[in-house]
Amino acid sequence: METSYTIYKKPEFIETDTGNKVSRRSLISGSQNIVLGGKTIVHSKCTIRGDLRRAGPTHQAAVLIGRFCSLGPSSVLRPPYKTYKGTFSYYPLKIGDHVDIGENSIVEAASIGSCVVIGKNCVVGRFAIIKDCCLIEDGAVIAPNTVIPPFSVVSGGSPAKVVAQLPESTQEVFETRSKDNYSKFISG
Amino acid sequence: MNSSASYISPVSVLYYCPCTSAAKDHSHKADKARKASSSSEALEANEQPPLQPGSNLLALRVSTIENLYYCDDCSEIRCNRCVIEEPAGYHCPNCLFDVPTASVRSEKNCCARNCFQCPVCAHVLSVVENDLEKKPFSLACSVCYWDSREIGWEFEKATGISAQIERMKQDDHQTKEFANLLDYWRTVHHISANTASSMGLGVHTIGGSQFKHRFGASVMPKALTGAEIPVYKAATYVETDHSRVSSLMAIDNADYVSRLSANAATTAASNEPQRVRLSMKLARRCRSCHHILIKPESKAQATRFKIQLMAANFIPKITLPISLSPKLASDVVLPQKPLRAGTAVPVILRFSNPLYSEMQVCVSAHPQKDDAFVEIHAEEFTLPPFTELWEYDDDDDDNDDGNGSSDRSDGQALTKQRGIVDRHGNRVAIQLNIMPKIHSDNMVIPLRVVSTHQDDMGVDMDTDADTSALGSSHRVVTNKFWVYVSLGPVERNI
Repeated sequence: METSYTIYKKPEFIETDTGNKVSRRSLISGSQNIVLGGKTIVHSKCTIRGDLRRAGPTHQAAVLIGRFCSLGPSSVLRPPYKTYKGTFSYYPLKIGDHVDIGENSIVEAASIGSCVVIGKNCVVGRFAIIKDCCLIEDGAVIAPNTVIPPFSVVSGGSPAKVVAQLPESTQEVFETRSKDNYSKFISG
Repeated sequence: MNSSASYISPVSVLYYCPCTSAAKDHSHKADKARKASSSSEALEANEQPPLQPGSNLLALRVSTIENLYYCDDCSEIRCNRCVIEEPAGYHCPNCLFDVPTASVRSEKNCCARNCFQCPVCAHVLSVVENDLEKKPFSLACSVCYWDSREIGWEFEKATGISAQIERMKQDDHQTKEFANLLDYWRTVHHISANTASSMGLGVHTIGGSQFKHRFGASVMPKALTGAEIPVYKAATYVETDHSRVSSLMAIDNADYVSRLSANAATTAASNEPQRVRLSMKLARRCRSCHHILIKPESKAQATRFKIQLMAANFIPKITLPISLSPKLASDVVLPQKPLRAGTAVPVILRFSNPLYSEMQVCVSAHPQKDDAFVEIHAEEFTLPPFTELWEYDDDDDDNDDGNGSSDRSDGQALTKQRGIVDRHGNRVAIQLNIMPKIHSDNMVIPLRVVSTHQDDMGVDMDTDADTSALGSSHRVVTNKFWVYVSLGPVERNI
């Protein structure tokens, strides 16, 4: 089944030069520390905490998001934090291309690879690393410091576990899907 | 891998893999029939689907196109069941370290670095630093807050925890006994292998027959008796061994024997973190011709494939569009309301061509179907080749009666016009009229799809008779397969 067209009201979304579509009803803090790769959709009530950046003077961005991503409604993206050698600091949150984050999901990962689909109501714990081509099913709670290897299916429960492997075509499938979603997200 | 195998999800297009023997015979017959008569399409329309839509087996035999492979030597779809899997590299799923194949066995198939599983919740443990002076490091679980100091595991260094544990446990009687057992069986294996080969028995050895079972029951020769094989001597002796054995011997009621899992839980060893087991990448081959279908990069982190023959790159992909264009978003193509018996509904199927060459597609429904009446207007049509440029194209070629059909003969073009509702790039959407006849929980319609394209392979490929007549290196590839279109529940007529 193909995805259907989503038609939004033009004033609701800001479209940038690189094709990012950011809802005016999203909460973006510290936008100077956030990098959006292009053609990424930020849905309403999505929170991106760019203000939580590394302690001390640094030019590093707090949240890096690639191309063709979709940050679902009411999702939260928050850089992870830890106390290392007595100093409390936030660390950057890196997200690759073609990443789809579902509704109400909270992401505090250290890095998320490309072609990753995260379902609804998920929690990705602090400093979790999700490699390329993964599927995180709805309601999965990924514990802090977890590493999810490529082509994994992670299923619900706390802590969520790798339950299956995705087929070899996953990269193309997820890329096509995210491009399709972007092209079908149009103003009416 | 094949998560779709457990049930048929409503509103999906599933492909049937012809790997079961019954279907194979069937397709061979079809091949003969096709070769016998030139008007092949008429014959194929009368073919029976390999499985009836109501069959319970269906959910196990079909899968989405994403899960299927394609053998370009056999020109046949391959599924998980009809491929051979081979290891193509080992790695730790946690630290993603690539373990050389040579050291997998010596590391006991487990990660030899810092990766351990929590004995309580099986989550991966992390190395933490404590405020202790001598041995400041321990393993801690970030899920259940278990700490390895509970069992007295403290480490001097934060690296090579496995080696530190091994050093710690080398005086442990269990470790000693296990090493002794291993040595003993290696000797036995060595002796029996030598004796067996001298007797011309080849690989059938005592050790081999006990551990491998590779060749079924092996013959134990008379000569290989206790005389040559040394008697096993335990390396260590624990005071409680005899009392434990005698207490087990004295049991006369099986109810008092604790189950294996409960027994394992009470032994001390299970309170210890276990090393994370290694994963492997798989290469896949066609089961009938051993042609390689999937060859991954050996590195753990790489997601590329050196060889990747997926079905989606060879046969047309069929999807069920919800709406054909944004302007008509309200005009729902797919029946959103539940289907009703006796009421004909239009169903749109969109075919897309993954190849760089033009593809001829022929779709036919099984005529004597009993639970639904299917009418296909566009039984034959051409799928334009896939081009990257189409992505930048506008809706110019959306119109049916545009230039797309001008190069065809008039009579043919007319029939094609009837059923085709949308053309865009390498995709063609056709309309079927479906009238369910009976109530069912999930209406599934089998369709026979034949796709033909010219393959510009090298001249060394075996060519069909009709292509050699053309005198070119092109060969005509015909793919015939069944798809099952699942459309959801059919309501009873009120």
